[in-house]
Amino acid sequence: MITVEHISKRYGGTTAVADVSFACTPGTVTGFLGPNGAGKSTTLRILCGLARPTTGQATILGRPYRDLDQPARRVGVLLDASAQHRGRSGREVLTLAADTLGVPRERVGQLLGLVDLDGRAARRRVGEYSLGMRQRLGLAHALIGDPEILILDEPANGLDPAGIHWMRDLLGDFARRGGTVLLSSHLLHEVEVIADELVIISGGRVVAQGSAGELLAEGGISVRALDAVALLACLRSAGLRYQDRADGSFRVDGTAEDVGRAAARDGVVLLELRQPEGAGLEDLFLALTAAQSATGPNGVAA
Amino acid sequence: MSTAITTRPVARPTTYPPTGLGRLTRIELRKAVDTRAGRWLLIAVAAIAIIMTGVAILAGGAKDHTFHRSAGLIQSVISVLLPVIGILLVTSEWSQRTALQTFALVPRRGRIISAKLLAGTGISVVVAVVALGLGAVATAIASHPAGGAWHNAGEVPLGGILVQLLSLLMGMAFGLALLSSAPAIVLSFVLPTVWAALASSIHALHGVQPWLDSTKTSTYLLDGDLSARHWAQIGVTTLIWIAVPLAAGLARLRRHEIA
Repeated sequence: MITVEHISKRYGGTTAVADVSFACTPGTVTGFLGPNGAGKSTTLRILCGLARPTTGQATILGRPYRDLDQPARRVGVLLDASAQHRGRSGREVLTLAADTLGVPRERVGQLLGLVDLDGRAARRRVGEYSLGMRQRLGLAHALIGDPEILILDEPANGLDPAGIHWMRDLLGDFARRGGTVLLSSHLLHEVEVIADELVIISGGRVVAQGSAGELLAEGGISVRALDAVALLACLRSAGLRYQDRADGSFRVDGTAEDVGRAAARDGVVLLELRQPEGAGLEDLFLALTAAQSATGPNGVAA
Repeated sequence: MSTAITTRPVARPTTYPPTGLGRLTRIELRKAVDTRAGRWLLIAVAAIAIIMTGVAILAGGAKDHTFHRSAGLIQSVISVLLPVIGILLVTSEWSQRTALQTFALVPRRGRIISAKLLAGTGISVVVAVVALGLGAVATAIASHPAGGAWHNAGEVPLGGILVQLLSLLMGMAFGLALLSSAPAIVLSFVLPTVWAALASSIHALHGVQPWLDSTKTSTYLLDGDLSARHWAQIGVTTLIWIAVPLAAGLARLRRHEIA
């Protein structure tokens, strides 16, 4: 259980995070989504006791991270895959963590195998690793204490499609066993397939949150007919609110059944009737990203 | 890649004893030697100690070859490198950005610093003991059998150990105060030297100079035969050049954001 309550963080005159609140529950994967510079990493650092919030508080399992007896036994953390000593081997990095936590050394070998860094790769220095290898090592490092919560900052960054697929399975499995996962990303498509819950942040503020299903379905239903004029009249007479889209389709506030019944009643031939595949979220996310690149110097996301 | 062994992240009773200081210290010692950079630094110290052993054997007349002089010669030269070991023990966490993980694993930052101080103490004692051994070898080889080579030998170990310990701790203190290798290395060499030069050239500072001049500490300790006044001066310079930056660094680290 992760609880973030009204967290704000100011650096001098600039506000990095403003009044951010959300909660992550066991058994779910929460995607923490936002353009670069939106305040994701700052929030996660506060959560892990590495930075202090200006106001508000963050707790894990009911206590601030710093007050947990042996936090890495409860919470696995990957905040930056590149924050590893370049001169240590992958095996050495995990061995140091295992020794720190008092975890048996066998677990190091098991985890190296899990993230496909066993054998020669384990003996190579991290400085020679690709970003994807560092991410996998970072994930193994987060798992070393056999935690029930995972906090991962941009874990998919640098992974190839097969790696992302593998990570999705791993995190999904972790959540199904009752684990809690919070992972951030600046790419919607990385998160939408993994996350059950979404928290979207922009300019340090939460702009949307809810279950992924809800948010992705936010655009209602997308419908296209052979005769657009007839469809328009049909939607009006059925009292359904709609939005005319440039491509000749309509976005309707309502269910597929609502629209289907109205069309059947009026004899309108439908060519398309479907969920707009995260279009609402995509639009929102693109708008956020665009707004940021128009105003901020480092707003280039993705 | 499989997902088979991930975890058993289901609810379970969970109180774990915090990691003991002894184990943290062993881990810090391991971190000091598990990279090429760390190993080479120690190898450099050993190489210089061996070279100085040769110098101690070859230089000077037969009567000069006392344990006191040979050990002192080796200790004084390697004590120049010890602050660098101390600095890197602290600042590599920031230059390599491992602080992120170190303090995520152990959020009580004071404990990590305590472990580093203990590890640094261990390293400086080992270095001093090795230098003493080499000093003894040099003395055995080069001294005149007739006499006096081991005179006052009993006070040599304490002086040597203290010199290395204070050198290394000063490096750690500067490292912790600055959290950055290059400035800490430069300032830990430049500041005491500049101060010593200033104090000896400005008449008004002559009275306080011996109390603030850390460069004299090793001279006193290696020469031996210290008066109470010398001990007091060593205490004051230790306070100013080690305790103050250490306290400032700890205070800063408490609030510091690890990024």
